[in-house]
Amino acid sequence: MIPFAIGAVLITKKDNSVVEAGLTDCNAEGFSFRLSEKLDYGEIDSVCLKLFAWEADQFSSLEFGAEGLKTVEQNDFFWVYRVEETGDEYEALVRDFWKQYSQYVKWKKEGSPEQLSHFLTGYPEGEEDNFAPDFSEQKKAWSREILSNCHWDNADLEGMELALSVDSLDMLERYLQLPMEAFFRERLEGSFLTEHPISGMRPKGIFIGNSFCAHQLPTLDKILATYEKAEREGICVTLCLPCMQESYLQDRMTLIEKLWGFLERKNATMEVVVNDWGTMELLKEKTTRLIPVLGVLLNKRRKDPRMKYQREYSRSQKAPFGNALSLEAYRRRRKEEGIEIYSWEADGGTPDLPMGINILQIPYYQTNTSQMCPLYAVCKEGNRGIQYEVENCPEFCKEYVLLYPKHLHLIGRFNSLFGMALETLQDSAFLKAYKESGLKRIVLTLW
Amino acid sequence: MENEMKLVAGFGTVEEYPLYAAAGADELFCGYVPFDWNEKYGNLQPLNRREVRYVDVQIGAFEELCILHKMTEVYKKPVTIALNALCYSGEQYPRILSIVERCVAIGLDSFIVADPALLLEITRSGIPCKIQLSGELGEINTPMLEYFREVHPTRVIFHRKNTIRDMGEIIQKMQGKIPEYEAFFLNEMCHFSGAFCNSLHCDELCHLCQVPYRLGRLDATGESVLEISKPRPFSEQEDYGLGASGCGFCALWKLGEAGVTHLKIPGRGNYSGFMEQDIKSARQALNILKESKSEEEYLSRMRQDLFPAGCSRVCYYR
Repeated sequence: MIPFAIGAVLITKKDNSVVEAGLTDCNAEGFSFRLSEKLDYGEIDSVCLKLFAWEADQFSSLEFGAEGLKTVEQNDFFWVYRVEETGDEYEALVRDFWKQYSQYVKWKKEGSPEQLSHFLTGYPEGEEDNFAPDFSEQKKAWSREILSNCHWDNADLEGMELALSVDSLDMLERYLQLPMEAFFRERLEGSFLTEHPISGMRPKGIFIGNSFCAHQLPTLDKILATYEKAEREGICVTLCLPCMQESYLQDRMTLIEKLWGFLERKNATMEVVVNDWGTMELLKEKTTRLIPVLGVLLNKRRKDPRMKYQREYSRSQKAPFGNALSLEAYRRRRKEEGIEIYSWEADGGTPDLPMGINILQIPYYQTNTSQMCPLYAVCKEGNRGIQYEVENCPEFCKEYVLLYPKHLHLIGRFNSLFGMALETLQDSAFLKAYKESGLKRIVLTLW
Repeated sequence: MENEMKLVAGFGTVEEYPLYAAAGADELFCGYVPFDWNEKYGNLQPLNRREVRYVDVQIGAFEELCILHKMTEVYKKPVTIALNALCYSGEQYPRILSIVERCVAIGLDSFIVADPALLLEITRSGIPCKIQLSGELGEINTPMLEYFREVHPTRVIFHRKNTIRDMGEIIQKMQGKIPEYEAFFLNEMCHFSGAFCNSLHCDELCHLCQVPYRLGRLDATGESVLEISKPRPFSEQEDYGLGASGCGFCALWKLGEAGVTHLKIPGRGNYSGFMEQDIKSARQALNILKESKSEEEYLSRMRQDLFPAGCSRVCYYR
C-alpha cells in the first residue's frame, strides 16, 4: 500500500457518485487500487489518481478512462484493478512523487530529527544547542526582545481589565504581604519589565491557584485571606482549579462546599476557572455564587512554538484556531451549565473569540501538561519519564525549570511546558484587535 | 485470576487486522481519514491523533473500510474507529457526522471520541452508534463520568497518568452505569498527558516532548545547568524490545483487581512485526494471569517466560 495520506484513487461513476479507493501500487508502468466489490466497467466515468507533491504541498491529479482498466487480483475480501498505458505526463508525475518520497525516507533514516526538520521546513539547524544559563537570564533576553521593539499604548486596552496571575503558593504569600502596587512592581521587576508601559496600569483582579498543578492550589484559609485583602484593595479574586484526580475528589468537594458557604454568608460571588469536567459537575448547583470559567485545559487548541515552521501553516498562514466554542450548540450547552466566560491564551495567533465574556492570558501559553510531574521526575529520578503520583510535593519548581533552546521561546514550569508569546507584550494593537470580539480581561503572568 | 481482561490493539492498515487478530487481539482500533478531509485539512486540523502523512498509520479510503468490515465478519474481532482529535473547528462537525453515518451504514458502529462538542453532536444527531470516551478527553474522575453519562458511553478509556488506585475507585463507584473500562498497558508512554498535549505531531517536526531540554535554576544561584536530556535517536528504533517504550506487564494483576475490562496496546503505525510480537506476548501474559492463583505466582511466571533477561524498566504504573 502507498501511505494513505499521499496517494489515493477516486473513481467517478456515471451517476456522479465517487468511490474512494486505496492505492496499492504505483510505478512507471501503471498503478493499482483495490475495491471491496467487483467493478462494473460500464458504470465508470473516470478514474482519478491523486498523488501528494511535497514541494507544492498539495495533491496532483491525473484522470483516466475505464478502457485501460483490468483486474489483476481477486480474493475473499477485495478485487485489485490496474491502470496501464498511462502516458508521459503520468510517468513524470510518478517519477517526481517517488523522488520526493525517497528523499524524505533518506532524511528520516540518515539524519537527526533536527536535520529532518531543517531539510523539510527550514527549521534552524544547530540552534537546539543554544540555551540560556538559567530562567532569569532567559527572562532578561525575552524582556530585551520585548522592550527593544515595543509599540504600546495603554489606551488600546481601554475597556479591558488587567488582572495578575498569582499561580504559585510563594507568589500568593508575597501578595498577602505587600500592597497590590508594590506586589505588581515586584512581579514586573522579576520579569525585567518595569520599563514596560503596562506598568502604568492598575491591576483590577488577581487569578490565584494554578490551572495545571494541583500542588499549587491554596488552602481554603489562604483563599479566604486573599479574598479579604483583595476586597479591601478593590480587587476581584478568581480561583483557578487544576484538573482533579479521583484521589482529590473529597478535598475538592469540601473546598467547593466551604467556599460556597463563605460566599453565601458574604452575599458575594467568585469566578472559578474550571479545568476538568468533573469539577464542572461538582459546581452544578453552586453557580449562583461560584461563577464557572472555562479553563484553557478544557478550551483546547493547537499550540506549539514551532507552528510557524509547520509546512501547511506557513504556506497558508491559516491558523487552526477553531475549536468547540465555534459551534453555537456547544456554547448554548455550556451556557445552560452557567459557563459564559471563556479563558484563552494568546499564542502568536489570533483566535476568533466567540460572543461571551472572554479572558486572554498573556504572555505565556500552555502547550503540554502532565497530571504527574515531569519536573519532579527529572529532579528526583534523573529521568523525565519516571513519573508517579507525588503526595508531599517538595516543590522543586521553587528552584528549577526546564530550559529549552532559545529560539523556541519555551519554558518548562511546574508540570507543564509553556510558550512565550513576545508579541502580546510588544504591540498593544495585538490586544486591541480582540476588543470587538468581546475581550474583557487580560491576565498577565509575570514569573 | 477470574477477571479475563481483553486485549485491544491499534492497527494502521487493513493488512494488519488479520495479522493482529491471529496474534491474539480480542478487539482492534484504527483511524479513518477520508481523502477529501486529508486534502482540505491535512495535518493542521486532523481528524484523529495520528497526524503524519508519510507513514501508514490509518485507513485512508472508504473502500478500505469496506474491505475491513468484510474481514471482521470472518475474523469476528470488533473494530472501533478513533475520532480522537482534541478539538475541531465549527465547519468540521457536520463532515465528521457524515463520516460517522457512513461508517455505521457498513457496520462499523463503534467510535473513540475525545472532543466534548463532538460527543454532543453525535448524541444530538441520533446516529445509532457506540461511544467510547477517549483518555484524551481530559481528567477522568467519577463526577466527570457522571457528567458524560448522557452520551451513554459503552466504555471509558483511562488516560496514561491515571493511577490503578484511582481506576479501581472509579470503576467501583460507576458499577452498573458504564460497562467497560480500558487501560493502557504497553508502548508509547508519553511524558505528558494526551488530553493536555496540544503541540504538533507532524512528519516534519518531532513531538515537542522530544525537543532537547535542560534542567536549570530559576536564577544564577549555584550550578546553572544540572541535567541535559538524552540525545534523540537518529532514526526509529530498529531492534525490537518488549515494553521498551512503556510496559505494564507487572501491573496486570492489579489492573484486573481494579476491575479493568480491556487492555490497550497502542501502536498505529508501528512496525507490524513489533506489534504482532507485542500482542502475542500480551496474550501469553494473560494466559499466565488466568492460571495464576496469586500475584506472586503471576509475576514470577510472567517474568520468567517474557523477560528472562530483564525488562526495560519503563513502567506504566509504579
